[in-house]
Amino acid sequence: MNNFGVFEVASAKTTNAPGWAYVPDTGHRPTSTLAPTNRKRARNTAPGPSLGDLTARQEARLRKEVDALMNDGNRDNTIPLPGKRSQGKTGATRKILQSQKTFANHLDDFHAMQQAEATAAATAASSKRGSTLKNQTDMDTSMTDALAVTKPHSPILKPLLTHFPPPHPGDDDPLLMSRVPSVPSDEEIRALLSHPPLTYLEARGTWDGNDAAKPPIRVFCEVCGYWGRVRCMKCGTRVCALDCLETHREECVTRYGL
Amino acid sequence: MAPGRKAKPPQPSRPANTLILDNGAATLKAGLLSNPTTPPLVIPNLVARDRLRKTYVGSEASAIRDTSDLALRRPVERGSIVNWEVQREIWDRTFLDTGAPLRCDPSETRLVLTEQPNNLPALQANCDQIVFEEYGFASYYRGVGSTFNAYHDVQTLFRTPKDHPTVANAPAEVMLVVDSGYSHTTVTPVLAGRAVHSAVRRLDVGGKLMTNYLARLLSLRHFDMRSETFLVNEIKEAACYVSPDFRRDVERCWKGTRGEKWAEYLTGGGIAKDYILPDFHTRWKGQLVDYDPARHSKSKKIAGSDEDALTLRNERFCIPEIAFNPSDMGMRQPGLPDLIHQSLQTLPVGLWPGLLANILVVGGNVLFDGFIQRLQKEVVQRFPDDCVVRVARPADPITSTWQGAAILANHPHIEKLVVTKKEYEELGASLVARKFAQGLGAG
Ligand SMILES: [Zn+2]
Ligand SMILES: [Zn+2]
Repeated sequence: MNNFGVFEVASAKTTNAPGWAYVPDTGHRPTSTLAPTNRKRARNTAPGPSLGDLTARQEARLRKEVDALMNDGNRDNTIPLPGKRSQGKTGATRKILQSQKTFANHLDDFHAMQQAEATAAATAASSKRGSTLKNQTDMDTSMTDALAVTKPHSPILKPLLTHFPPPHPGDDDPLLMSRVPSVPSDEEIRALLSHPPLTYLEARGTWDGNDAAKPPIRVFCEVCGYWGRVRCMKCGTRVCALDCLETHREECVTRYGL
Repeated sequence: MAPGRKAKPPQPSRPANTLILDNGAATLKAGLLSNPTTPPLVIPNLVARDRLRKTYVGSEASAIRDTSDLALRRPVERGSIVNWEVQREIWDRTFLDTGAPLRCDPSETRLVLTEQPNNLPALQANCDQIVFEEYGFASYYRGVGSTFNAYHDVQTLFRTPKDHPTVANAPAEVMLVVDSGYSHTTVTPVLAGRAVHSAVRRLDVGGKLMTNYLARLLSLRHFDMRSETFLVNEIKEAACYVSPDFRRDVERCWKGTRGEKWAEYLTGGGIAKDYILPDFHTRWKGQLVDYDPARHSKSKKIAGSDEDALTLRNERFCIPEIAFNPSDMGMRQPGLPDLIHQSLQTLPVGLWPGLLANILVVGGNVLFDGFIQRLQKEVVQRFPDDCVVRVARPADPITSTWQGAAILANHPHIEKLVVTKKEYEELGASLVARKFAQGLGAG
């Protein structure tokens, strides 16, 4: 850790002020006296200061804050449009134009549908050669026919044009020669490109099962944005030093009382 | 796609006009195909209502002078058109109404529309129904915006010597498109104009989140700005940059101890700037100026200076930083460099050199100073030493996708991609959706 210019507020001991405490942030440690750290959660996060050492209440607050920041504020959809337009030319478009569903509503619908499909598929599989499954296959075949395109025979990528590292004087030097892996075959490329689009949630980047690659989480002073090395014992908010803790205190008292 | 291709099946005659819409969450990029291509209109994709309860639709919003306490309603949410009542109002005023700047008759027009990757099927179906059943476009293609960028002369963008005679007008062979827009940031490997769907990844950090995060920080540190989205967005665009060395810049903004202010803090440390706020009285636009300690001195405050200045310090680089380290604001997703790494790890290693040497970044967020340098530096760190990493930003990253779509609209590929109104009526909505998802596919 970079200690440049740091004014140490507290050493390893906890200093108690009336109703307040400074806690030096040294990484691994039970969080606060208000809510015990969830051990399971702690185990599932990377070492070092991480989101895992927040209390459940703080975590919920954080998640709510992030969610709130994805919205346009709370007054969405309350502005009536000026003038009048038609109600929609067909029943379907009328319904679409009148819909007040949000993206979150549509996402919920999609997940419910996926679940229903999975259940239906499981049922169909258990009653072997079930009629549902057969119909499904028939439908798929007819769809494929309708979409059938004549296959051109030229490769998708032209082998010589696939990458362009700038020429380098060491290119021909056997000692410096880079071991550039060979470009996949046309068959491999076709297989890659035939993959259907992922669903909205599948495409979302996650750290699933890859905790080792996760960078350590940095925490900042809520008041000034410098490193958040000190924690308010009352609410868990991070601040950098005495100055900012005092500023925070005023707000904390209003929010949580003494 | 080879020049000596076999005779094509007869194509239905092409409609008189082609309308190209890149329907973003912040702005709608719209234009009719012409020769030579003229730049698209960039229209705020929203309905706004000011303090006096006057309503502004789309391009009218550019004329709002007093943006304080403005209420906004946007048809696009998380990258997808969700509210069609609002979207139709903006579309109608763009190309349908009398006096609309791009007025055309949809029954004689082909529509090329962009969408974000991994859209929800129900929202895609809504879109297709509105396009054919409500507007009655003659033909239509809905495709992933990132892939359209492949139709640019990519080798010119990367300033590569043309040692290989490229097939005229063909899409780039291999490229990685990063689209960082208002809703989110996506990573899409593109092979000869086709998205490699299995490797598309999304980071839910976009311009909106950054603006709202800045509003939150400024509200905590100065005064409540949570209902000043317009102003905060302008502050963000004027003042924010991507730090080449985050830790160093955080240290430079340290204010010092209680007794003793840190010297660099007093002078601004080369980072602090003042944003002169509009008073919506005599000053309608804010302005970013160098930090001047004198502006904040007590005597000046007492003298009643009418200038209200907001000093920005680490807010300048902590905001765009969340695209690189989303956990800084409590978001549990990998940052953009890690996302690129994850995307490539699902692909054969043989594609890496081509993808890494051709990273094209588009969308409004890539305009932050330092964005491409930082991305290049961090991607290099995540791959073997002998991988050349090049990151290029087109001249206008906001209209780049639209421009690419305009080139595609003149390319033979478009005939394989579009669906006519007749086909829609014959095949039905779900088959049309499948055809769009397939795109050029492996064919
Ligand atoms: Zn602080
Ligand atoms: Zn507190």
